[in-house]
Amino acid sequence: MDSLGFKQILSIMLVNLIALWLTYGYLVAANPLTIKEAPGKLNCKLSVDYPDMIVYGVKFGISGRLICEDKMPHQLMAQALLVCGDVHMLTVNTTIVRDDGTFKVYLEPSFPKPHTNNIQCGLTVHVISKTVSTGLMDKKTLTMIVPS
Amino acid sequence: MRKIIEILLPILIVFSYLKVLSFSGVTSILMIRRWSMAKPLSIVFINDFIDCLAIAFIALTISILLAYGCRKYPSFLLILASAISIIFLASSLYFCSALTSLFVSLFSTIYAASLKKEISLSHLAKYLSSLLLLIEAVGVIGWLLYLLHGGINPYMEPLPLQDLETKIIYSFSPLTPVLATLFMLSIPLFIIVKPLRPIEGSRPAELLNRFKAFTKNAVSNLSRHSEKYGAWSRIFLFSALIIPALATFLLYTPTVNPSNMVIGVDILYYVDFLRDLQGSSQNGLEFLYKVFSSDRSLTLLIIYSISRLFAIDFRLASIYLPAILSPFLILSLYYLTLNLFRNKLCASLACFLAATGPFTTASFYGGFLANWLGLSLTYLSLNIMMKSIEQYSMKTLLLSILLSILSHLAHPVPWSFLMAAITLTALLVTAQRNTGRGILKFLAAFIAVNILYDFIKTRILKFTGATVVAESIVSTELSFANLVNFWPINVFMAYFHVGGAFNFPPTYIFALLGMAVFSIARFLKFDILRMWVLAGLPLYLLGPDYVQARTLQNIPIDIFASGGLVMVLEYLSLKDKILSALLLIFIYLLYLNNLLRFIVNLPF
Repeated sequence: MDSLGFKQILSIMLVNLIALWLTYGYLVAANPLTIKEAPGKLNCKLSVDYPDMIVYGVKFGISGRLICEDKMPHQLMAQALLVCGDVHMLTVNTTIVRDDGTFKVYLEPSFPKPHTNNIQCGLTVHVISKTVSTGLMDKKTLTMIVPS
Repeated sequence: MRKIIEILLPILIVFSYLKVLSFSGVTSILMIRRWSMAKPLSIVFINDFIDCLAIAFIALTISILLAYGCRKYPSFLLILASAISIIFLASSLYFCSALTSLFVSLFSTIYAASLKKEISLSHLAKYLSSLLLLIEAVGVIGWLLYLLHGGINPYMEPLPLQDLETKIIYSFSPLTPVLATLFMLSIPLFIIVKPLRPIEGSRPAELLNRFKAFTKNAVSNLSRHSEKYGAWSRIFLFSALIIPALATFLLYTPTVNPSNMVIGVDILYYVDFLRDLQGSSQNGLEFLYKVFSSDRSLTLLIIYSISRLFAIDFRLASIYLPAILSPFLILSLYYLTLNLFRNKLCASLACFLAATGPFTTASFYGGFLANWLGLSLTYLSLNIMMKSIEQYSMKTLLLSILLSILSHLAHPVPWSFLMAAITLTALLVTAQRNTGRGILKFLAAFIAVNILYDFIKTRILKFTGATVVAESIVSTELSFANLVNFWPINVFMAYFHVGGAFNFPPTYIFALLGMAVFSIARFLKFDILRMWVLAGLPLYLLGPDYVQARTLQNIPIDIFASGGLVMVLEYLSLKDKILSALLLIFIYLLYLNNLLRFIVNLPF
């Protein structure tokens, strides 16, 4: 039998190391719950000014501000989700967070008209970094008046 | 009796696998109504007891039929294992029962098909693929019903019809990061394993030689078999052109998008940028100057022109732009792949895989309009450059350079990849001294003019451009810390980034096979694509999740995947023509399900 040369030994070692590394990768992937959802979690605080009341069919704005301890990250977006009553009644809008951390999102409840005079709504604001949630969010329950 | 075993075995394999998945508590990350969430891959047909009882009963039937045909002790061992499965069931040990049934199914397959030749492997494969095809077809029907039903609850679970298909595919999702990484590493890996050549005359050496001979023969025959699957080629190409365009409109129907939200993260940036530019410009010339000083000028100009031409706002022009961009990409990909393989099926398949696979789903999520356009122009430019080398024509080379400059204007990333690939190919050609110097002249001219253009744009005119973007990515985003944390970042990229669009293992399986094909059949054209992958490797290994994702987005992975898939089809067509037809239908439905699943769940 031919003896193994240096190249072959090096090759076997490298192949084994890569195989081990890929196996470790598979194990990480097989346990998705161990993966942090936002690797670069922002060191920021989110404050949002909500209206006291909203009216069906009338456009309203939510202004907010991100206060970060470090430098303000670029390319952040604020997404507002309004869900009234059941989940058929929802509206979403997204806006870009400016360099000074401020943003303003406009929403218009134009989903099918509810049959009651007023209805409870949940308004959630998420801050999204490109395509991934940063984990920063704020939520408030509001009353929506439905004009007859 | 043979037929009964051949029909029952695939049923046992699939359903015992599903029940093992169910009881093992395996979880995967699914995007449901835009949120990525961990969901257990559990499936209950009637109830756990009856499901397991049915599986154990099928296992026992197969074992008895096998023992009847061949009275050897392994057959009786299978009966014993099936009986144990029923005992486990009676003791409420459902997981053990399903696992034993799965072992019985796998061992029966090996024993009856390979060792004893009791059943035909090709018949078994035919029934197994028919069953999987049925599951895929049910999945598509499920999504179509979901779309036609109307007024859906957006947080409702997917209907059980498509649930089965979704969960089978997602059960393989841990393979995605491994396969994608293996694909990216394949060129250095080929170099590493090169000294480990099997001993001449040994079985592995014989198998390797047969594989190489088959691949070389199949690749050289591809051009002669171009019309072999004529009807299939037309179906795949037509679907690739139509489906993403339809999906663009589907995304804004009240059923899929009840809140009428803007789909495509970057679309807001384009709209905002154009509005700002329009507001701050005194006249048309200033507006044009500002557009050209940005790094996506051509894309911005197209959005602006469309909005002016049809008197619509930037938002509307941007959200429906994929309906134009996608067919453009498909056509440029079609002609590039046709030039590479001279085979219509291969070209159509590459288009279909791109139109319904990770590239399109990720582009929809991210609203990567500039990338879409840039990559299309890059593919066109590369195709024409290859033609210019073949025809030894400087005029054609000029056209290719013009297209590459347009791709630079559309988006800097695909242009940078093309430049890196051509530069690496030029180095490879220089190293292989037997290759003609004419090729090197063409490659050098292509690189020099493009670099000169970028130099003028970025260093003299001080506009932003590809090398400025590349410099900023290399200096700020790439780090060895990312390499140390490679797997958590990579797995995060596969599962969460752009809604987990890249989490689709079939593409990477076929792409790996395609890479083997490209490496065995050594052509300059194939080398350019291999160098394209190699150019992405440092970004993939050292970059954060979004850089890794952009790397996968900007390498022609679907061309590799179609190359691999066509080799499988060539192999199957030698064995059984029906099997290759079944595989084509399966691929069609598998990818269609992927696009439908993603599109339906994209808006809130």
